[in-house]
Amino acid sequence: MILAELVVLGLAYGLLFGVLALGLTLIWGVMKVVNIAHGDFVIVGAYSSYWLFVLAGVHPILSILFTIPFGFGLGIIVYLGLVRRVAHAPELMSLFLTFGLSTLISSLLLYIYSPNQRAISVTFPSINGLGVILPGNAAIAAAYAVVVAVLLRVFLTRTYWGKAIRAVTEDSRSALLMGINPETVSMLSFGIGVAIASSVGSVVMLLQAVTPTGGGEFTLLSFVIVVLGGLGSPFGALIGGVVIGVVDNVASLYLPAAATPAIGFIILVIVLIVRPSGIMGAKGS
Amino acid sequence: MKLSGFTLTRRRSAELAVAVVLLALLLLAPTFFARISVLFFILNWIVLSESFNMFTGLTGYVNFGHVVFYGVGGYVSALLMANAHASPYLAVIAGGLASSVLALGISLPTARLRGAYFAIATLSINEAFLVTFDSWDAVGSAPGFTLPISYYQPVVEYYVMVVVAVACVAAMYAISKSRFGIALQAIRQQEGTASSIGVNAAYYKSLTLVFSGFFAGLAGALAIWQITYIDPPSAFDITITVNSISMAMLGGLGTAIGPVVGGALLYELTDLLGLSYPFIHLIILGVIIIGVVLVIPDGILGGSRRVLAKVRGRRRSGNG
Repeated sequence: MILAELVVLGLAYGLLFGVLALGLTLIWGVMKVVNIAHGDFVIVGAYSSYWLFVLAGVHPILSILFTIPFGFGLGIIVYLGLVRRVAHAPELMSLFLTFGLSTLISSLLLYIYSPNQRAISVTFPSINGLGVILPGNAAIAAAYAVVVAVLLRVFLTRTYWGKAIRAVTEDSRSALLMGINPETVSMLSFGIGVAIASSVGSVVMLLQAVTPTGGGEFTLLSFVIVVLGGLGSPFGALIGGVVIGVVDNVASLYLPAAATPAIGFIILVIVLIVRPSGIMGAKGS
Repeated sequence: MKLSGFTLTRRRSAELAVAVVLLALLLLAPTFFARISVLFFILNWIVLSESFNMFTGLTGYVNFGHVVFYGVGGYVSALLMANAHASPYLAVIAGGLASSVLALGISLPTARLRGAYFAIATLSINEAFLVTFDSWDAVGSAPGFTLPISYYQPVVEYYVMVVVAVACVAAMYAISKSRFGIALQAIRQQEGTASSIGVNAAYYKSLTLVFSGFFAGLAGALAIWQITYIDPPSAFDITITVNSISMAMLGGLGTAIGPVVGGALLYELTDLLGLSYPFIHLIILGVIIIGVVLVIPDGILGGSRRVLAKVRGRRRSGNG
């Protein structure tokens, strides 16, 4: 039964991280920029929720209502102030820029809040079905991920700007010819990407403790999922997330605890060796 | 690299004179400067940043895992000194060689990766090494280990550091001026086109990473010889990569002299600030990286050259 429980748990975590990776994919699709600071925005969201909880007693679930618009605004500011200027520069420059941003965010958080771990102890009653027990917090995380995925799907397929994002992802030059403003689309997708990351941070606060420097792990995780699931494909990101979540949890049963952080890395290396140019190579160059 | 074609222009001889004076000062420093450990670490940073620049500056591929070479070089040399009582010179060379072998190993699966894929793969390699060394008992796992005190020879260490730093900068200069460097430039600008006219991109990238790893490994081995202590968080600290990137970018990416200028400047800056405010140091590095990308993508040297050219041009056209 332990195995079944780990699979279900991995499914729940995987959905959440799949949604996180979705944010990364969205930005890449439109701008061809890999946001190395993606995970740091998760930490920003997590810290926002932590302080809202500690100082004002706001429940982490409720604080999502804050971290979504906050993340969206932050994303737009970062886009307008920084990322926009390297949109047409060599890829090297956008990598350096978002890496610098990642360093800046994590060190600012370190400076302001110290390196201490922060955690919230809020527990939801666990769910018991068919003899498999799923912790309530993980169930909430999965539910949140499903809601975001559905909303995003509706946005991308039913609204003008959603369709515009897909059009630019597909073929930016033709999209421009059709009268779609790529600047606005880039701004929007960056805002949405960061909003997803920071709201996932609120949910992460329910699952684990966070530190200011924990962002790198989330960035790597998102990237592994993106590589696995298929770039530019929201559905692929969710599948990739679920695969990573399940493999990660099940492997923890058989591998020593110290080795588990390396699992994502091993998966990444295998995927990259099997498909060296990745999905990016198939699409971009 | 054809020396027969080397003619002494006025600018070249000025540069040569500056280099000779600098070298003489470095060699004489222990006779008049009490804190040679400061000089040692400036040179160590220059080597780290120059070796980062050697790969990333020349190929255009970002290696976010540069510190891995530093850490492995440090570990191999420290293990040789502490467990096998090897001569420190031998241990340092072994550290460099170990890192170049590692670089070859890393480049085999990654040399075919394009752009961001390569960058993220190297970022995850960093994570993997930190985790592995942290739980590996044979290398002291999390607590790390200390070198016997008899290995502490500051003046000898300093002179070895000078030799390595000069060799590293010279190697970067030689590579960037050679046929090899031209191939790398072609890869950086248009890898597809370069491959189609017969430049074996994967081979050139691998070999460059091996050179880069060698010097970073030497830097790691030398640093551990000086610090006499090693543990995973300090050996595989991503801050070291951040520092190397900032220094290379500040001075000028892809130039031999860039990391020398950037390294010396930034070390002084962080030395002044870093001691009392550890986190501010990282904030400043983040701001420097972002600022350089947005304002002077070709670094201080390139930027000032452009400003000078503009001023001269204006003077010539008579606008004052």
